[in-house]
Amino acid sequence: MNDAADAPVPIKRLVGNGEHISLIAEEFGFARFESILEAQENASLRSARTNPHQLVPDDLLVIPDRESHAVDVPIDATSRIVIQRQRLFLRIKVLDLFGEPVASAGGRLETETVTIRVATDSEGLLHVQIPRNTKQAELRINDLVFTILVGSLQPESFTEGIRARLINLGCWAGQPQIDDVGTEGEFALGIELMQDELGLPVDGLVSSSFANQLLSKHGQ
Amino acid sequence: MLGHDTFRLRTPFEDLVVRIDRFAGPPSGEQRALARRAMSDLRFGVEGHDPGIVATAQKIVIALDGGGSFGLFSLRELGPLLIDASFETQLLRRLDEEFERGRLIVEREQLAPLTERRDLFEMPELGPPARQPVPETTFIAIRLVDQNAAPVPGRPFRIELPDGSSREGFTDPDGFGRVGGLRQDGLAKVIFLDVDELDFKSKNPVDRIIIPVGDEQESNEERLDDVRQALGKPPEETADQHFVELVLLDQDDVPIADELVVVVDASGHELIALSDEFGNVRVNGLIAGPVKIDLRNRDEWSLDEP
Repeated sequence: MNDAADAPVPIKRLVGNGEHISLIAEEFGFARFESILEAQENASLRSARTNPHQLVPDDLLVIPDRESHAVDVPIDATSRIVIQRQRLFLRIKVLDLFGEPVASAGGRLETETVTIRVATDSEGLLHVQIPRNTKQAELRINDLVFTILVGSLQPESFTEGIRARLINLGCWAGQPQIDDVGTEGEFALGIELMQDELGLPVDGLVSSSFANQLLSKHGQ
Repeated sequence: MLGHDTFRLRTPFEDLVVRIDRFAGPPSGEQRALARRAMSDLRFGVEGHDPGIVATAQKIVIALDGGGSFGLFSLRELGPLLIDASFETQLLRRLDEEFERGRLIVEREQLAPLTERRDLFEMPELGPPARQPVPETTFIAIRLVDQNAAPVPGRPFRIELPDGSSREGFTDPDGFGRVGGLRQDGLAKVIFLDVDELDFKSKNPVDRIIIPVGDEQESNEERLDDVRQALGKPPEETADQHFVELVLLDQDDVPIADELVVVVDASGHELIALSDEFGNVRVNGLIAGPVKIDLRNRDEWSLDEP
C-alpha cells in the first residue's frame, strides 16, 4: 500500500440550513472555529465569506485532523477535566413598533437546550451567551415574542441576506426562501420602504450603496 | 408566605419579596423595574404551570381583595391543576395592574447560595419508609460486562429458577444484577433480554450462563467472585478492582454530556466510556498502576490540577 492510500481522508462537511461555524466547531470538537476555517483547504471559502458567522447552505468545509494527546490521571480518584469551548454570544437590539428601544426590560430566551433569563440595557441591547450549538431560540421581552434563527443570516451579497435584514429592521419583504412573482413584489416593496427611510432614491432595486447603508443600519 | 400581606416569590432565577401596600402612590422608576422583573418571573411560572408560583400569585390576589374572590373565580376553591389559559391571563393582568398602581411593592431579597436554595415549591419531608422483614434466604448475583471487561449497566435480565418460575431485573451501574428472597437451591439460568442491542456482535458474544444459587449476606466483591467462579475463572484479589472517575466540564463549569473518553490502564487495556448528562464518567475494572485518558473528539482539554 502506498503513502497516499495510508493518508487519512479529509472530512468534508456541507453547511446545512441554519448551521453556523460555531455549531460545526462544536460538532467536531474544536475549541475554536478558526481551527477549521484556517485549514489550507478552506482558503477559498475564507475569502468568499468575510464574516465567518454568515455561512450559506451548501458551503463546503474541510474539517482538519485533530491531534490526539493523552494525560495521566490518578487511579481510584475523581479528576476534573476542563474542555475548552469558544463562547458564543447573541447580540440583539430590541425595538418596538415605533423603532424606540425596549430599554431595561426583562424576559427570557429559550434555546433548544436552555432557558436563559435576559434583560435589555438602556439602549434596548441584549447581550447573552448561548450554547454553541444553538440553531433557534425564542426571545420573550415584555409582551413581545421573537423567533431567532441563529446563524441563518446570509451575507448581504445574497438576496436572502438583504431580505432578512429588511425584515429584521421592520420592513416586510416577503417570505424568505420563496421566489415567486408575488414575493418578488414584496421584496421590492421592502427595498423601497428602506430606501425611503435611508433617504435614497426609491426604485426598489438593490445597489451597492443601498446594500452598504442597509448593512450599516442593521449591523453585520 | 411571610405574612398576611407579604409574599416570597421563589423562581428559578431569584427570590423576590412582594408586599401589598394599599395606600401607596404611583411606583417610582426603580419600583417599576423591579415590578417588571417580578412580572416576568410570575408570567414564566404561571404560564409554565409551576404550582408554587401559581399558588403564590393566587394568594397575592386573594390578599389584595381582602380574602375575597377574584373575578369569576373563587380562588380559594381553585387548585393549581384547575387553571386554564383564560384564568392565567386574568391572574397575570390583575397582578400587572396592581404593580402599575403601586399597590404591590417588590423588594429584593439576598439570594442564598445556590446549594442552599430549596426547590421551586416546597415538598413535605418524607420519613423513612417502614421496614418490613423480608424472609430472604438465598440470592443470585450476576455481572454483565462487555468485551473490554467494562460493566454494562441498565440492561434487563431474566433469571429462570429451578422450579420453572422466573424473576427479572436490571443491571446496576457496576453491571451487577441481583435477585433475592429465594427459598430454593439448584441451578438457575440467566438470560440477557436485549443483548442484541449491545455492540458485542461476533467478537465476544455473551453466553447464557448457569450460576449456582449462593448464600446471602455477601459483599459486592464476593458477589463478583461468585460470578467469576461460575464462569470458570478464579477469584482475583487485585486485578479489576480499581477505577477512575472523571468530571467533564467546560471552562464555564457547564457539564459536557455524551463525550467519548478513552481510558488506558497499566496493562495497555483500552476502555471506552461516555459521559452522562452531568459530565460524569466512571470506569471500573482497571488494574493497579498508571492510567491515561484521551478525549479523542476534542482538541483542547486538560486535567484541572487542584
